[in-house]
Order: sequence, then structure tokens, then C-alpha cells
Amino acid sequence: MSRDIRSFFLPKKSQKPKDEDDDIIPESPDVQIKNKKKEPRKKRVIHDSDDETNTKKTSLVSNKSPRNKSKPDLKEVKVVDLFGNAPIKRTEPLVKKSKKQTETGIHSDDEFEKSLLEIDSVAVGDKPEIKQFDGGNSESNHKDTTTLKTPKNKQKAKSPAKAVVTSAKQNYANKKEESKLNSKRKFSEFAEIEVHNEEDNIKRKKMDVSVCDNKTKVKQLSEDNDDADVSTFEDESSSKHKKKKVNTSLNESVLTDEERHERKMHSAALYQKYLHRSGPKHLGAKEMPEGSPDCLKNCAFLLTGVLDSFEREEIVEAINKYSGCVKNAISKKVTHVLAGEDAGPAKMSKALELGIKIISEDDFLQMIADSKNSKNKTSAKNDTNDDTNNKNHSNKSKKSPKDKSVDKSIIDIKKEKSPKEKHTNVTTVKEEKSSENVKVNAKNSNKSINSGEIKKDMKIDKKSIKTEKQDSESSNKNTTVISDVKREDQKPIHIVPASMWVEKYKPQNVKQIIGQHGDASNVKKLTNWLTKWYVNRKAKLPKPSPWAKNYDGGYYKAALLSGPPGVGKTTTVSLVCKELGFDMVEYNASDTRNKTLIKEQIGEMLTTKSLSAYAKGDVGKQAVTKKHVLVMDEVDGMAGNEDRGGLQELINLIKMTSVPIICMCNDRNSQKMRSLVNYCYDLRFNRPRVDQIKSAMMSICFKEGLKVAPDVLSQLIVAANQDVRQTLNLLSMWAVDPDLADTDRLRKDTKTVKKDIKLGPWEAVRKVFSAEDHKSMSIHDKSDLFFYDYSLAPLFVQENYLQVAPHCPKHEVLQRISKAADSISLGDLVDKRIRSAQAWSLLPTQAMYSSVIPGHELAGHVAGQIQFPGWLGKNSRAGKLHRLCQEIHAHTRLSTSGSKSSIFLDYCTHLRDAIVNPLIKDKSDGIAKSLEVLESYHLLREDLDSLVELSVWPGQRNPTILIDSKVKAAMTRTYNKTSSALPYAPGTIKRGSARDDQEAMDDEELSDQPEDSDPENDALIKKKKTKETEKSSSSKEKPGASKEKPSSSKGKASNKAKKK
Amino acid sequence: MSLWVDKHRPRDLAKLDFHKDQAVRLKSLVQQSDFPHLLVYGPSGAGKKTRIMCLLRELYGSGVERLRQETMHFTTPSNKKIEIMTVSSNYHIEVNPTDVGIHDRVVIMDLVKTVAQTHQIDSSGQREFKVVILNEVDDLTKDAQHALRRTMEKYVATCRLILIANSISRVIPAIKSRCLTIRVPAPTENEIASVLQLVCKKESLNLSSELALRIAKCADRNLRRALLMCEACKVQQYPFTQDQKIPEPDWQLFIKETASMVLSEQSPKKLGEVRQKLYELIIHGIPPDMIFAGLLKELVHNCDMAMKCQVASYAAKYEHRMRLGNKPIFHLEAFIAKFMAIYKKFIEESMGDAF
Repeated sequence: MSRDIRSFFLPKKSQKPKDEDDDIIPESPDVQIKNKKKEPRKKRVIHDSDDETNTKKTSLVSNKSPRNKSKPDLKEVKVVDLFGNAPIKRTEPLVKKSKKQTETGIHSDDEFEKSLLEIDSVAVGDKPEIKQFDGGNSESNHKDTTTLKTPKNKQKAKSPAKAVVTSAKQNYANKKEESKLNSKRKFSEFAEIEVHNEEDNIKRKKMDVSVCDNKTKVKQLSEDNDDADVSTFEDESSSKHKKKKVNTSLNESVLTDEERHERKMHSAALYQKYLHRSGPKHLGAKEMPEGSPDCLKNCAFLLTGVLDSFEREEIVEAINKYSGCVKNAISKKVTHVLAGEDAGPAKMSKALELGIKIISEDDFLQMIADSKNSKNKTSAKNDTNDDTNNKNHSNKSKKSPKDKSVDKSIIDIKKEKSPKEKHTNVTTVKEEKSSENVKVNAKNSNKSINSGEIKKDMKIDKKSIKTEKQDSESSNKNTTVISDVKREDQKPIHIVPASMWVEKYKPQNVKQIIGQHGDASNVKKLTNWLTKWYVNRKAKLPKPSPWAKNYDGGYYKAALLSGPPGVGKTTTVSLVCKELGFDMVEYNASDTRNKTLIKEQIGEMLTTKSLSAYAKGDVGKQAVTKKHVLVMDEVDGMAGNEDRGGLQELINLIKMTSVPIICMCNDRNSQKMRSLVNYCYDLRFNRPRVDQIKSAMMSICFKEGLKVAPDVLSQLIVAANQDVRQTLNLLSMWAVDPDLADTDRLRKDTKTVKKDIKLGPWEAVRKVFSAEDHKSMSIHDKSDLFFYDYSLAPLFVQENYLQVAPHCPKHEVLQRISKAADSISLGDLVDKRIRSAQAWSLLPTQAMYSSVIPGHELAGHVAGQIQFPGWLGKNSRAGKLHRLCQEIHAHTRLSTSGSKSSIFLDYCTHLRDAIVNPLIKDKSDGIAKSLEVLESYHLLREDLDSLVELSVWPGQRNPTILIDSKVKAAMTRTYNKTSSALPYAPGTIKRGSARDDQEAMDDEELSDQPEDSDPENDALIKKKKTKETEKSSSSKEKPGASKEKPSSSKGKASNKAKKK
Repeated sequence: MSLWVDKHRPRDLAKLDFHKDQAVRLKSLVQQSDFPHLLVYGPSGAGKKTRIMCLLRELYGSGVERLRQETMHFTTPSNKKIEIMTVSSNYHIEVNPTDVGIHDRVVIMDLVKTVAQTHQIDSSGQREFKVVILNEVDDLTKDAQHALRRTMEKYVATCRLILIANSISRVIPAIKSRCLTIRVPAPTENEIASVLQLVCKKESLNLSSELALRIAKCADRNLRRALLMCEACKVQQYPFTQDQKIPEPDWQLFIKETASMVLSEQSPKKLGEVRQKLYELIIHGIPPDMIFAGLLKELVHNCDMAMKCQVASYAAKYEHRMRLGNKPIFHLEAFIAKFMAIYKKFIEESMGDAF
């Protein structure tokens, strides 16, 4: 039991930092955790113990009476006897069981569990003591004084937690003995909070009826003394009570209608006031004091009203900096209400109702400022306090020499905490607890040595472990326990660089995977899919629609896990396979996965049986398993020569596989994955939320003894793009270098990391010209703007530089623009060089010319909207016109002499006019004339449109509009009727498809002959004539001639087709 | 019915209208039955191609006029299939390697090789070489030009190259030195006028010498343009009158328009509008160097001498950059921006002097 307490410290705190503020009043959290966990156990113990009724009675008494009163009630000598050996033996196994259950249920940390088990096993050896202690524990809380008086009880307390409990007891006892004031003085560090806590506890005590609750409260108090860091947990029962209380208070305030109306009016007025309220009156009048880090830990603030000299944001920042938290609405979680002018009346009244401390801005500043001083003083104070405590103790309980030791050990705790900031507080507490424990043990055997050791502890904190060792040597009986304790303690303390954190803290079971807990989580889906795999194969399910939601993937034989790196895809698969007992056959990017390999190796492997179980020593049927899973990791890496045909083969494999296949990739939308996704059950992994990662990281940090402020951690996680692996790596780097671990530097670091956010070209170009941004940018930063997209950046700059309003005298604007344009034109030269000679090393030069210099010259602001570069569109249009022109040029080549540009410059307008004008002027009579022109230049009907497109300039009328549509149609008709011989193959018809027979072609040619009046135009005839000569003369030209034939026949074929 | 420019093209060296002494020289060159590689260069519309066709006719007879078009296919080393249109007769093949852009090297190597490696079987009464005409040699990539120079020497026995270029400044010296360079200068305005009148006579039209001269002036000493303009004039209005309006090419008008925009206002906004105009010119396939020339011509009208020099030097600078660079618009725009800056300053100064 005692170990539980200790052990519950760690993971609880680290794992669920979020939950901490779940409920109302922040107390020192360790205590609360303990409460929760202990409850069931305690109950059991209580039931087992003979004096159940007895304790109940006392508790009832104590509940009703305030502390001072309860003390005398508790003083009963009887109880000591109850802690005899006999009943405790019975309870022991029960305790153990319950421990295990709760732990495994709540903690997902395997390592931790292991250590627990170890401790348990040791504990079995020490059964009697534990039992006794359990009993003692339960009893002691009720009857503190009595337990204090019983040396037996304490002597047997050997495990560390026991010691804590005893120390707690002690403290509690101390408190009781002291006055409230005394206690305040004692814990000046947390003075106010603790007072609250104590009060609250007392209150609660009154309410609580159950025995266990009562007990826990006692412990809470005692743990408060320990100043543990783990933040608040409320034990459920008490919280319930509290809630009830609130409810009742609400019920009481049921109002009449009039009152309600009045209130409404009032609140409306208040709202108006709120809307018109002014800002801080003396903004910046005060300075935020430097406080010690974490000085506001466990404090939850509610800000209301307008503060005198700070903006709300500043305060929030400060609170966050000192590890406090800010709440938006009033609740029991809130510890302080920071009220300014015009504070919300509702909040204030509620705060009063809940007994929350209302502080002013000055108080707040004081709190921070004090923290620095008090932190320094606390140790001293604690010393004195504890001395007085000791005295008290010695006065009161002189019979037990242990009291002293325990008290001293508490002093140790306090002392150690202040200097040892590196260790989180809880670890130190742990340590101390163990050392306490040791001391207690040692005292059993050797009191004199003990006192000396304690002194040592006080002097040299860091050697506490060593002294423990000494202790262990001195105490013969408990060496095993102690060694265990040591092991446990040392683990978190010293940083082991031996294994990477990523490996070290790899999830060991499915539950530990971050962000994969829900029912709809991928882990669940994958498990489900994998378990049903064999069943589904027989079922022959239909293919689901791609839009089906929450499909269980029964149809698919393979699953495709996709998601960004570092979210745990591979881990998920390996754990799920492990859990379901599948054998993983993994191929990742380091393996060659080309077609043949996949086909032969993997295919073979999947039909074989695994003997891995033999190796583990299993025999019989279980040893041989056919449950394989083929895991293809990083399938998007399957590319290049190495893995040629791999993906296709993988798909084939999926089609005929007899085992489940799991593929993993980063980007399922990539081109390479296109075909694969159709065969795979789609499981997409999203990045875990920041707080999900954060809690896990906090626990690891804690285990490694690395102190990282929560806000820094969340910044880091965001900076790492919510990549768990990356975050862990960064953390482990910080842990190795102590300089890096400085909190302020971490803050700075994370800020610098933050800068690497990708900008789109639009934002980038805005930044290029922004004088504002230039102030904070180095030349490298400026040139980096170019590199966000180096192919588009120069175009964007060129497109938008004219829109910039440079911050310079007006008469300079044009000068600057011309300079910028000059630089851009130079940039283009560099670009040409880069592209033509693959001289990519020139990119920085281009960055200077194309982006930085224009940006520098025109530093100002972009006045208009950022335009997408028009060059791209214009370029493609220019390309299109060039193509058209080239086509016309090719068609007219036989009859014209000019080059392509002469078509552009001279011919096109005239040709167009020569064709169009007759149609406009003479209407249908002109058709023959225009067709004649078409023919003489070997132009197609489509070429006319191209010509028009080429020749019409913006602002000009398209002359074809003037053509009567009837004439146009008639012209097209006649054009189609008259099949003219073309000397070239019209581009649209595929080669070889229209291989007419020779006769048909000859017929055509003959029929064409009379039409062709111009001897230069009838190329076909000439060809025909030359054919004979070609055949005889040159062998070389045959291919050309033979080529020619089909092409001309094609022309005719097309014409024929048109006629039809 | 072809346009006049094609209809009345001379087909014989003896019938050429201008540069007659050159025609005689060419004739004598051919009559020696062998001739070296030729590099014919001159501005467009000067009659290079016509002259070459006449030369070939002189060489091979009327057989060269039986033309056919073929599409040839080549495969680049990167396995890209390209096709190119060729015009050929039995005796020659004409190709425009720049049609395939940066792959022109492949075309040159393969085409020249296939042509050159085959001998004429029937060499009696025929020349033992064939002719390869390469158009727009000055636009060939450097690679292609280098590929050309070895083949020129290697296959000199079986094939002659006739290279046509607008300017030899971009032809590598290695090629220049291997060829007999023949410059075909643009005809003078008078020559053009006389040609125009000759053509009109053939069309049985009456063209006054004044109008002919005006057209010749307008056509920028480009005979092709002059003939086309003359025909357009005829379409527009016949019988010709003395002060008839001569339709200018649209793109020239457009450039003038753009230049007047620049002169009217100098501001970033105007520059933006000018950019759109420049884009339009480029889209319509007007060679950027012509845009430069046209703009400069218009822009310097209003400038004093010192500024004229300045503007001209800037135009030259940016045109040079344009040739070296990728995107002509950048350089055109830079030139306009520069001009605007200079011009505005100039205006402001002169205004300042006035007051």
C-alpha cells in the first residue's frame, strides 16, 4: 500500500496534468491523488480490521468536531493493540491485489508497473510490517495521537510510503498541536493557499461522513506540508459534497419575477458599462516584478474588471510564465480573483460565496515579488518551524524517538527542495521519502547511527542516495527493500543517454499510443479489421462506396495507414499485431522492393508457417502459426529504379493475398499512391492534439528529471509540427545539454523554431515589398522569401512590383521602379543561366536580383491585391498562337517564301482579307474567289479561323462578323464539297489508319487534276509523276514517296469523310 | 489565285529585278558545276529565298520546282519523338530546324546525314550533290550550330548546304568560315517602286510612281510587305489616287499606340497598362527585337539629342539582355520603366527651366 502512494505520485502527475484543474480547490495534488487511490484499499483494510466500528465512531466524532476537538477523541490507547500481527496477515494479499488493479487500470506506464511489481514482491517478504502499517495507517489517521505514541507501529513501517504516511501523521499531529497561526507561519511559502486548504479541509471534514474521506483529508493536510508539486485533485466524494453545496446555494437564490426583471435591467446596464469601459488608467505605470519560477503554481486566477496599470494580456502572460493558470469563469478551481475597476459583480459575489480570495493588482504583483524573497527564506523558515515542531513533538511524544527523525526528514525535504531545482519537486519528495524510510528502518536497528545520518542528509542533499546506501548497509533487515527503493529512485534521477528517448519511451501497448484512445480511433479500427480479416475473407463482402463513413474495411484485404511522420503509424501496427498475436513481416524503405522481390520473396514468405514460436519454447500447435501480417512500411518510398514495378506487384499481391497486408505511407494523395489506395482500407492518422502530446511529454520529462515549463513544452510541440518523435528528440537534446534546458532560453528557442512556417507565394511577395517587415529581417531572411517557391517568386515579384507604394518621395518613385525593373531583368538573365546550364548554385544570385533588390528599392506596402503572375497565362497564349502560326506556315510553305515571323508580320492580315473580303463584298458570289485563295495556299477551312485569331488585335473588330452567316455556311459547304488535294497530311488524322488502296487514290488524283490550275499547287500530281523516276533513280527517296502517298490519301479520306 | 507577292515571284536568276550583278555572279558560280556551301543573309523581304530557288533552278533545271511536303520523324537522345515538316524536291530538301525548338540539333545531325550519305545513282546529267537548305540559321541553338560544322566538312562530296539567315551575327564563326557568305541587301525604295509598278503592269493596273514610292517607304524596304500593301491598297481603292491612304500593318499601329501611351503619362499605373500592350505584342508573335526597334523609333521623337543617345543606348542594353534572357517582357518593361524615369526627369527639368 505504502508503495502505491509513492508510486502514484509520478505518473499521475505527469500523465494527467490537464485533469488537475478538474475540480475545485487546488490543494497540493499529491495528497489528492493519494486520496483517490487509497480509498478502496483503505476501505478494505478497514473492513478487515477488527475495530471497524470503533474507527467509524471516532471518525464520526471527529467529523463533527473541529480539529482540536477531534484530537482528544482520537486519543485511545486501544488501537495500538489492534495493530497486532494476526489480523494484518489476512489483509495483505487483498491489499496487493487492489494495488495492482488500480495501477494497471490507471497507469499506462509499463516501466512503472514493473517497478511496482518488484516492490510488491519485496513487500510480500515484509508482509507483517505492511499489514501492520496498513492497519496502522488507517487507524493512525483517526487516532493520531495514539498512533504517535505507539512505537511499534512506526518501527514496523519500512517501505517508503509508509514513512511518508508516518511523516504525514506526524505533521498532522504537529498541526494539531500547534495553533493555526503556527501552521501559517510554518508554511509561509504557501501561506494563503494552505490556509484556504486547511479551512476547506476542515469544512469538508464536517461534511464528510465516510471514514476514509476523513482519513484522506488528514493525509492531504500532511501532504500539504510536504509541499508536493502535483497539482490539484479532488477526491470524488468530497467534490460531490461541494457540488451539492453549490447547488443548494443556487437553489436558495431562486428569485421572483420582479427581482429577475430588475436583475436583468441591472445586468443590461452593467453590460453597457462593460462595453464602454476604459482601458488601464496608468498603463505601464508599474513594472511586472521578477518572481521565482513556478511561484504561481497551483494558483488559478480569474481576472475581472479593468486593472490599473496592466493590460489583461500582460497579466495572463505573467501568470502563465509563473505556471499559474487563468480561468474564464468562476469555479471552485479558482484560487484567486484578481479584481480591477468595474469588476463583474456576479463574479465577485460568487467569489465571496465560494470563499475565494479576492486580490487587487498590487496584491498580485506582491505575490510574485514575494515569491522570490519567500523562496529564499522558506528553507530557513522551515528550519525554524520544524525545529519548533520538533520541540513540540519532543514535548508531546517523547516516548517515540522516531518522531524526531521523521520530523527531521521533513526538514530535509524542505531544505532540499529549494536548492535542488533541477529535480522536480516530486522526485525530491520521493527521494526524501525513501531516505526517510531508510532512516526509519535504520532506527529500528541502530538509533545512534541514524541521527548522524540525518545530519548528513541535512548537510549534503545530493548525497542522499549515498547515505541511503549506507543506511541500507547498516540496516540488515531491510536491505532488499532499500535496494529496490534505490533502484526506483535512481531511475528518474540520473539521465541515461544510453538509449534514445524515442526508443526508451516507445509505447509498449496499444493504450499508450498518443491520441489513439477513442472508439473511432485508428487503433481500434485496425484491430477490428485485423481480427475480422479471416472471417471477412469468407464472407465475400461487396465493395463499399467510397463515401461510406465508418466503414470497417471488411471488403479490403489490405489497410493503408497514412499520416504525417511521427504520429505513430508504425508503432500502432506493431503493437496491434503484437496484441492480436500476428507475426509481422516487415518491409520498409531500407529493403529493396522491386517486382521480382515482392513476387518471389514476399509471396513465398506469406505462404509459409512461422516457427518463431518454437524459438520461444512453445511446442505443439501453438508453436506453428500461420498468422502473418505483411507490413509494407513507407510504401510511398517505393519508387525509382530500385523498386521498379514494386507498387504494381504489391497491388497484385493484395489481390491474391491470403494474409492481411498493412501498408503505410505519409501522403495518400500523392500520385504514386493513386492506384494503391483503391485496394486498401483507408486509415488516416491525424496529428495528435498538442495537449495530448504535452501530457505524455510531461510525464517523460518528469521521469528524466528534465524541467520544462508547460507553456514552453506546448510551444515546442507546435514548433515540431505535433510530431511526437520530433518532440521527443528535441527534448532529449535539451536534457543532455543543461545550458539548453534553461527555461528562458527554451522559450527563445521555441520562438525561433516557430519561424519556419511555410508561406504561400502571396504572403511571401507581400513581405518582399513590406517596409514594415524589412525592419526585422536580415538579408538572408529576405532572400528566404524567394526560396519559398523559387520558380514562382520572380514572376510574382514582377507581376506585383508596380502595385507597390514605396515609402519614398514622390519624384523618386519612377526612378526606383526603373531600378527594380532593371534588377528583375538581370534576374531573368540569371534564370536563363540556371535553366539552360543547370547552374542551380546561382539561385541565391537570382534571389537577390529577382526578389531582394526590387523589394529593397520599392520598400513600402503593396497597395492593391496581390495578383497571380499574368506571365503564365500570356505565355501559354503566345504558345498557342505560335502553334497556329506554325501550322499555317507549314501549310503555305509551298507557295510562300517567308519564314514563320513573316506570316505573323505580313501575311496573316492580307491572307485573311483576301479570303474574307470577297465573302463580305460579293456575298455568295465571292465564295468561289475566297475558296480559290484557300486552295492556292493549301489552307484548310480551320486555318481561316486561325488566321483570324492571329490577325485580330485587341480593340479591333473581327472581320468575320461581317460575313453573312448564310454565306459562311454556304462557303463551308462548298469547301467540303470541293475536295482539294493537299500536299501535306492534315494533322488531325492519325497516320496509317487511312491506308487507301492504290486505285482509289489514283482515281482521286485523276479527278483532282483538272481542278488544279496552278501547276505549282498540284503537288500530288508532281509526286505521281516523280514516282516513277524516284523508283528508278534513287532508292533513298522511296520512303519519302511511299510516305507521301498515304498522307495524301489521308487528306482525301478526310475530305471524303467531310462530304459524308 | 495567289496573292501578288507569290504570283509574280521570279523563277529565274535572269529575271530578278534588283541586285542584278549579284545574280550574274551567282549564275557564273553555278555554271562551274560546283559551288561551296552558301550562307545567304539579309533582312526579310529582300529576296533571299527567291534568289536561292532561282539558283537551284539554274543548277538542276525545273525539277526543283516539283515540291512536296513530308513530315520526318526523329528521336532525341532522351527518347522524345519529334516530327518536322520538310519541303523537298528530288534534288534538294528544305527544312526549318527551329520549328522543333531546342531539339534542332537532332534534326540537323540526322537529316543532313541521311541526305548526305546517299549518292545520286544517276549522276549523268545531274549534279553529284544534293542541296540542303536550312532556314533561320541564326536562330539555331549553339549546339546545333556546332553539330553542323563537322557534317559540313564530312559530307561535302555529296551535299551542299545553303544556310539562310537574317543576320550572321549569331552564326558561329566556324560556320561562317566554311561558307561562302552572300549578303542580300534590302532593295532600295526606288527598286521597290519599280517592282511594284512592274507587278501592277502585269496585273494590268496603273500605279503612279509617287504612290509606289510612298508604299515602298511605308514598307520599310521590305519587298514582300510592299507588294502585300500594294495589293491591299488596290483592294481598298482602285483606281489608285495620289494621296491614297496606305494601310499600315496592325502591329506597327499597335506599337505606335503603345509608344504614345508611354509618352502621355509616366507613372507606375501607366507602366502596368503598357505591360499589357507589350504582352499583346508578344502574344501575336511580333519578335521582341522588332518591338524594341519600333518603340525606340517612336519614343525618341520627342527627345533632344542627348536624351536620344541615352534612350538608344538603354534600348540596346535591354535588347541585349533580352537575347540573353528567357522572358522578353521583363526586359521590355525594364526599358519602358527606364525611359519613363528619364523622360519624366527630363520633362520636370525643362518645366522647371520654364518657370
